[in-house]
Amino acid sequence: MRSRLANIDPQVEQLMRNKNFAQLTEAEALLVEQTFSPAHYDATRKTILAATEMFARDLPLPSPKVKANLLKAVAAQREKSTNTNWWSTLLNYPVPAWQPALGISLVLLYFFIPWSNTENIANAHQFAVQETDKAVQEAHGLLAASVPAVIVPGRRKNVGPISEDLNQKNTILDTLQEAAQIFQRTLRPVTDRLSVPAMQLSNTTLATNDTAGVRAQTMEEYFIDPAHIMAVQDQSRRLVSF
Amino acid sequence: MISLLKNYKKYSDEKLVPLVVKGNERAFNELYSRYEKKMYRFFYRMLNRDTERANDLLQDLFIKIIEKGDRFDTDRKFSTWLYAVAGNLCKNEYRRVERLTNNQEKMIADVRPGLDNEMDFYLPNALDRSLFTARLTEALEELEDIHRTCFILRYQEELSIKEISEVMDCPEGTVKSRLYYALRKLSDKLQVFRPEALNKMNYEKQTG
Repeated sequence: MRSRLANIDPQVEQLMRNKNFAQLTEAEALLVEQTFSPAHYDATRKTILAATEMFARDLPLPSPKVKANLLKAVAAQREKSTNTNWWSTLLNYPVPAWQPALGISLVLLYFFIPWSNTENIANAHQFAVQETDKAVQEAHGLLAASVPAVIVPGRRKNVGPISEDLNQKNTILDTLQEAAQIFQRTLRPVTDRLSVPAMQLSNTTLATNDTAGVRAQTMEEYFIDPAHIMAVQDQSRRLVSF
Repeated sequence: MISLLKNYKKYSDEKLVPLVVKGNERAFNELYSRYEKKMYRFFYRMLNRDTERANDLLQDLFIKIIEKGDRFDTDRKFSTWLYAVAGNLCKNEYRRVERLTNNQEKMIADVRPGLDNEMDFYLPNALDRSLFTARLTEALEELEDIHRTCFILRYQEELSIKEISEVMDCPEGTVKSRLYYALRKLSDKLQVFRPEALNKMNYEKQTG
């Protein structure tokens, strides 16, 4: 009967922990006797108490090396986790740290987006090709130079140069232009007195770029009118004869 | 940044596990401090007080948490899952030892000093507590694996019958039955310490 039950009732087990068989009440003794004889009850009680006492007394500690090794494994796992899905950790913050992170990302993104309009304008200026007229300059009554039109990078007035070389070139051109203007102003009294236009501006000022040392604004075609030369010679002869 | 200031002591085991899987060192320290001694003693007892193997299995257990903790179902109780994993590690270890040193173990059992001879303890001072404890330890080691596991989980780890049933993946009735047999076997092996057993032995000796 007893062995057929073959399991331990937690209530009986609790009694074993607290009382020996002699201390049990009548009802408790009846409950216990369904499974154990009084002697077996006391023997089992003794085993349980001895085991519990032994377990409480014998407290070995693990080696500190185990923890050291495990911490290395944790570090490796952290590295692995960071490499694979670092972005997903943002969403795990209970405090919404992802919101400022998202804001910062958007600001950074703004600066890194290649805005299409800006680039197109820049490209248009960099690769613009404009034809210019040839410049012809008079020197001592001869056709001194004929400069063919060249292809140069586009440049707008009051806009910075594309490169440093071009900057230097423009500086030289500005100086030359000023020198030309001074020279023209110096000669003006003489030419005015001759009352013959020594130079005539052409209407070929389509070019906006510098060409052959002459700024776009002063791009002119100089030519000598034979009628003017004859008039000047005639006037000179009269003056001499006078 | 804010999370660094968190006090993981207030976190439940179930909440710490995903953090450990991500390599959070502080979360790991907290979880380890909660279970290192318990699990080490469990292994120590299950592996017949082999401290070296107990350390090895403790390390293996926590490596499993770190690397495969994402398999843990957070709806379950962590400690139950941990003991189940630890129990499986012990089973694997038993199989390994059985395979490698089956014969050797038999030899060791055969040459044990006369502790198996009950008459050696038939002395007035044989009921000494330390001797009883030593005998109990040996008797515990001689139990079948499932009975020993049940006994240790119940009386060392102090798990409830329900928790043990979850750890061992069996009905509660089976746990009660295993506990009964474990206690019965232990008591039988220690019967020399029972007065009635001693009286019986005395009587048998006198009557030849």
